[in-house]
Amino acid sequence: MILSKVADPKVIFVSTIVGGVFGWLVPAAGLVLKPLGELYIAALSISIVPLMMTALVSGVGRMLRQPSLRKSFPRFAIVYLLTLLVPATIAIVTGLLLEPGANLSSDAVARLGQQLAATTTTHTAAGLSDFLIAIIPSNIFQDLSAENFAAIVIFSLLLGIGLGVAEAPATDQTLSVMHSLYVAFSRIFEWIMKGLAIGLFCLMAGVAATVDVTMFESLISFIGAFYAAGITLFVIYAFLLLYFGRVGGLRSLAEVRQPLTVSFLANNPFIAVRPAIDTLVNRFHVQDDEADAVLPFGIIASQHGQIINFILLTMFLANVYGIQLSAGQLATLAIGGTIGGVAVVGEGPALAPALTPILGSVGVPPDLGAVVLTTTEQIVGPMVSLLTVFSALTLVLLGRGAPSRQQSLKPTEAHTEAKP
Amino acid sequence: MRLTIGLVALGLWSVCAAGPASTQPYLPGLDDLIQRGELKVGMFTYDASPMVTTGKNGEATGYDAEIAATIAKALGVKLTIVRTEDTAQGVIDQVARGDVDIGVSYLTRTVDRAREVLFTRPYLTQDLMLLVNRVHAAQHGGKCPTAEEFVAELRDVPVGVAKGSAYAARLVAIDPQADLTPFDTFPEMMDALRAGTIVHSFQGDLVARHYLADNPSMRVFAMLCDIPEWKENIAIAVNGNEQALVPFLDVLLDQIHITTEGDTVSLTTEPWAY
Repeated sequence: MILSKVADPKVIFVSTIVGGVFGWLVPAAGLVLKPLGELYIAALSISIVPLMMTALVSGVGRMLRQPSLRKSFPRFAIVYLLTLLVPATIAIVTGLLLEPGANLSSDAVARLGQQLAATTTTHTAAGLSDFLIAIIPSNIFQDLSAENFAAIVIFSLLLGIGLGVAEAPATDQTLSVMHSLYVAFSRIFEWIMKGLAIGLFCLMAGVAATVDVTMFESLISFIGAFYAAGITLFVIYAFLLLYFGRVGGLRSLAEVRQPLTVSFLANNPFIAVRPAIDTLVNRFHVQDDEADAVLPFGIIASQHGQIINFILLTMFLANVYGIQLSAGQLATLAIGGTIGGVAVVGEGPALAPALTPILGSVGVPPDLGAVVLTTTEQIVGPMVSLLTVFSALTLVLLGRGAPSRQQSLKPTEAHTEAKP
Repeated sequence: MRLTIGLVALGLWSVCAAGPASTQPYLPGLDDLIQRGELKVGMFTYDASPMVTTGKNGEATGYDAEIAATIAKALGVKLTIVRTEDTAQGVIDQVARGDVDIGVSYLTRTVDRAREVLFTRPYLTQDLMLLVNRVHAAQHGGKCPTAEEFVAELRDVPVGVAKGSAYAARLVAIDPQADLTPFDTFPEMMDALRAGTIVHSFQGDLVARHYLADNPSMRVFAMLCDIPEWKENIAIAVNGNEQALVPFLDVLLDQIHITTEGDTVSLTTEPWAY
């Protein structure tokens, strides 16, 4: 009873806010709590990689073995490509309207300069070939240990497709084993999720104790523009959800509350994989194999928040340097930001190699990009995570086939079994 | 990065606390100066922090002023700092004319100048630096130019230099058609670099780092690029008629060290040696 209470999204939200206030008021205690929060996030990560892997393999494999579901693949591909146009467009329009970085105060520029001086690493641009090499799972065991999510997803997709089309006698049993493992990992994940409220309280207390508010002030125009664009995208998703959710009006929004809250508060979209799949299957009556196959892919390859982040950050820096971007450069930025941001892996300064070629494509100096990424990670990251999960949910709902009446009324056995 | 100026002042006054020994005879040449009772030191009028700066009351400050005070103290004479020339070359000419005895003003020891004045041994050896406009750099490969690339672009890329400096003379010697813009002060040059009027500014390591440390916003707009192949020696210029001063100053400078490590500049002495 108590455990179910602390897993409630409202309790999670309140505990996170209280943790933030506590860390801000008592920084010393916040610093003590921070490692506990990080420990909790590490514990949550125990089953994330195997969960994603088994969900993808069993989902894709089982989809391909059912002729009716196999037809869904082209539809998902079209929806995926079309939805990529949305975040880039919103980011460009927001950047042109709000002009983040223009008229930055001299104090704000000086603070950025100090931060730049403290940044000693040189960020080398990662080209397309580097990106492709990084995501090809040439050694899956190495990729698993390094949590190279993009490579893991590609490997799992290929393994799922292989099992889906294989004619070997034990293929169905193998997929069943994969599905059983998926259910088992889901259970582990749910046990750990029971402590989410406490874990996020500790994490947020630590974040509030260490956060540099003065640097946020320097970047307020960028952060404001990012959130304006992010909220616009959120509203568009919400409308799509109302229309395609098929559960009736505003209830659709209430149904996605838990995965979105979890991803935002934990600043981690992968943590929301399981809650999001459950929501799709149990609340929106999506066929479980479709949800298992498409949602993890969407979490990796549909990072619409990161696209907005990269494009607006580039426009912010262009304004700081007084660079007027032409229409051609804006188009280049939209394409580059989409390709660079949609499937990037990492956070904060780890994103710099992906950002550098985007900045370079429109002639914006790259070094300050890493500084802004690092500084704003704690405040931009949660919205990026939320938008990633929301875009993945929307992708599944827009691309799904029409559910049968029986499927829409009764969740599948695996997901019923896995429910807490 | 925060700048820390480590001033180990132990020596500067204690070095010469006892003054010259009055019972000993002086070398010919030094004797005249001692008898006159005054050491005239030339310094340029603009600030090149941390070497040459101006105090609140208009007095000369900075490491060069402290070195000049140390010399006067060691000779046991009154120090008079003359700040009438607005360029380093102007100070060299001033020393050559005999308007002042020596020039202690962040002066680069060059062959051309050695035709006009005597030089002591260097009291500072530093790399030459480029500050590069970041936007230009981003649009041209994003890397610091090598010495060869910098020279090859001298006619095409506008470079800022301190007016009447050894840097300007050196670049003109390399390429008489170099696109150089002389500036009266370092802040004016930095404003031009930030605005993109010039693409490079060419100066010594010490002043460039010191300016960036004091003005962190400039780091956003300018990239610091070392040219390790190019070094310069900073020394004291001595009037040709004051030959006896040179070995004396060399011995004194043996005990005075200006060192740079990152953005930290230190002036230290070895008081035990006296």
